Amino acid sequence: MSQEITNPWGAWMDMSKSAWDFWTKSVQKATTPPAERPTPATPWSDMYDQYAKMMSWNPFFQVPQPKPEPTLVQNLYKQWEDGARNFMALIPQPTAKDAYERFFSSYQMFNRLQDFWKDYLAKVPTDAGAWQELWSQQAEQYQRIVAPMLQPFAGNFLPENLKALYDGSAKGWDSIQSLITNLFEPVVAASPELQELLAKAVQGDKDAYLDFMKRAADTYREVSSRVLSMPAMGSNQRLVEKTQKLVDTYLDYTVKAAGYSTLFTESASDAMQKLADHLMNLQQTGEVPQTFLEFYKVWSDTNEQVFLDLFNTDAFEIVMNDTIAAGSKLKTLYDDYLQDAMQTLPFPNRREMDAVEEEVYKLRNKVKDLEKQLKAAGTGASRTTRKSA
Amino acid sequence: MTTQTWEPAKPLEELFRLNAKLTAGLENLLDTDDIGLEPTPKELVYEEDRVKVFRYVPQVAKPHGVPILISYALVNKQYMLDLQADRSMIERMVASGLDVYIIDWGYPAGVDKFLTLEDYVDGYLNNIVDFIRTTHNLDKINLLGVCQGATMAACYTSMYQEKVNSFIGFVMPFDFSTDDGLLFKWSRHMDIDAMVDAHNNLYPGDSLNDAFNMLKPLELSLDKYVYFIDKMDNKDALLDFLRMEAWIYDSPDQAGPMLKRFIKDFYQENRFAEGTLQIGGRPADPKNITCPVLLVLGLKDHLVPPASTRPFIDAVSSSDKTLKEYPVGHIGVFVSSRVAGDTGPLIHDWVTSH
Repeated sequence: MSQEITNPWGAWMDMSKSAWDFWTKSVQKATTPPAERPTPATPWSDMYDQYAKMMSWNPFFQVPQPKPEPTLVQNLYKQWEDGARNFMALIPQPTAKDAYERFFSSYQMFNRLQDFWKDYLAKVPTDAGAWQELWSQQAEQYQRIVAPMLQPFAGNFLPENLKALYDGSAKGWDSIQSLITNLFEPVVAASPELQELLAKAVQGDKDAYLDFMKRAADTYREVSSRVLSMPAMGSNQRLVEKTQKLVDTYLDYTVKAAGYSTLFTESASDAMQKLADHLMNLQQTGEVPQTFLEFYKVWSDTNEQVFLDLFNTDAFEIVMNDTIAAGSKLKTLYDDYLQDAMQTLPFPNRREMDAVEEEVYKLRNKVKDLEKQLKAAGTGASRTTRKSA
Repeated sequence: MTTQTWEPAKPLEELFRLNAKLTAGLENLLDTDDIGLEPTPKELVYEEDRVKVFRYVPQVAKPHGVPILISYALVNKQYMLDLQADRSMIERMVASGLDVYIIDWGYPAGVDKFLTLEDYVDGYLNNIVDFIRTTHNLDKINLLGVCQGATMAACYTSMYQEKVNSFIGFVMPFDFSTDDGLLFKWSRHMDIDAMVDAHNNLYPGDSLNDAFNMLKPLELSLDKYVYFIDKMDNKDALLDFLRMEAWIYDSPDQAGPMLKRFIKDFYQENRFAEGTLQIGGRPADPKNITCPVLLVLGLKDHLVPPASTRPFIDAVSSSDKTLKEYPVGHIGVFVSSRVAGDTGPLIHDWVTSH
């Protein structure tokens, strides 16, 4: 990852092209015809017996029937994980449970990644022309695998309820989404270019999606935003103006979050490319990771460095801070909007409680000042509780 | 060329090994009722709002005559200095004969979300120092700050030099203009007003933890849990891990005005280092510090890089000042087995010789 990420929306295709070159030069030649598989030192049946015996202590583990390799190991891993999860459900200690959950999440990812790489090598085409298609299919699949891991990073700093929004859940926002769609409709209808981008975006083209969002947002600001900025009239004018402002802020956040997400997606692909490169090098020296922990270390080290490189760029700092600020402003407006709606209900809302708490805070400080004055005058004891030291 | 094939026996062997560790680890967990945080005995001696001050029970008949007050950061809890008996900096300080007080800043909520830098430095810290001075009938006490708590303590010392006998700063952020460290880089253009306002003036400690985890994203969020299972059959190692986890995620929410001020005046405008900071209308300038100064940093500190700490030595007017650097990270200064045996005696020798 270079320091000059100034066009994250355009970087995806550049990355794909370089990946294509990389794969055609390195992966293809590394995949020789199937070699003679070494015979395991221990027969499968003995290994399975040992495993079943090992698991028999615990009723939560259900030992499956052995299946032919190569799925046996993964089946056993999965079964081990399921059994351990069942057992951990009985442990009441939150700290330990959290640690276990994270561990098993990593483990699931390992299994999916292992499937991914095996599938990848099985699909290596002999026709160089098929590489581009394979790459784009596999890159998409890879991102689906690592997405659950990336989401916590991508959603960091955002207010809790916006993290959920960021992760794809838009519950409660349907009406606003619908409003935005209505605002965009006439803009898109008048622009063949936007229509084309939207068609590509619907088919999953990330660049088209980002480009569409950016252009639509620019157009929106030039047209609809000005309309929405007009002073409202009538008995609900304040509410209407706030709603319009909320829509405007949501759109701004959506566009910025898309850019932020793209940086992560781009880095995930970058990491995949570097990981593939590294694994191919290890294969040539006969040092390909053989176990979960070995593979995990290679995968983790590669990703850590790629993401740290990203985090150190000026572009990331700007995009991250812009996204956080946009999300924060959206939440503030949304909370305000909700409180307006709740104003007539027969209980105090947050604004009213804040006013009371602020008054108490000021009174508390005033009492402390007066106590100090009294103490200085030698007439009173401190309000603060003293215990013998 | 060589083509390496996948050998199923190895992952199976690993599976067997991890399973044995998991089984033993579960037994260890089931046998654990208390992970044993804060082993050093202490007693509550002062309370103000949600802030508490504890005095560690002296372990010698006649402790050193000038007590030492510890000001920890607001973003985590002070018991990291007394996480476990065999690596407790506190325990070593007390055992060496020092009279140690520590501030627990509490968990701000409700009314506390309006707390300001003035409330913390000119209010709570000043009141606590006065309380200890009065209790011991002393003009001055020793002040030890950790991380953000050291920055606040340094500000305090610059304003109330007449009450501070010596200042000790551990992993203290001071020069915020440095480009080392992602926190410093990210904070520079942070819209902290928007962030704090969105959380109704009380910024969640969990969100700060997210930020800290992003500084080493894989290592802090995943790796340690993956590698955890490989050592959980060892009960001591398991408890070490659980204690650290409990501490890391015990993160108080932050009062809005205080957090805004800290980001703006320190991270973004570097006012303290530049001598332009005002607290309650009074200057807080490091040049006003004339007492002996001991500064301790970790050379591998990714939260407070050495480049942020070192300039403090030259910024103060003290003639008696010492900089101690350890080849460890931010937390390693306190819990690393390589360092834990050194810091206690270091503080003892410093305090008793000043």
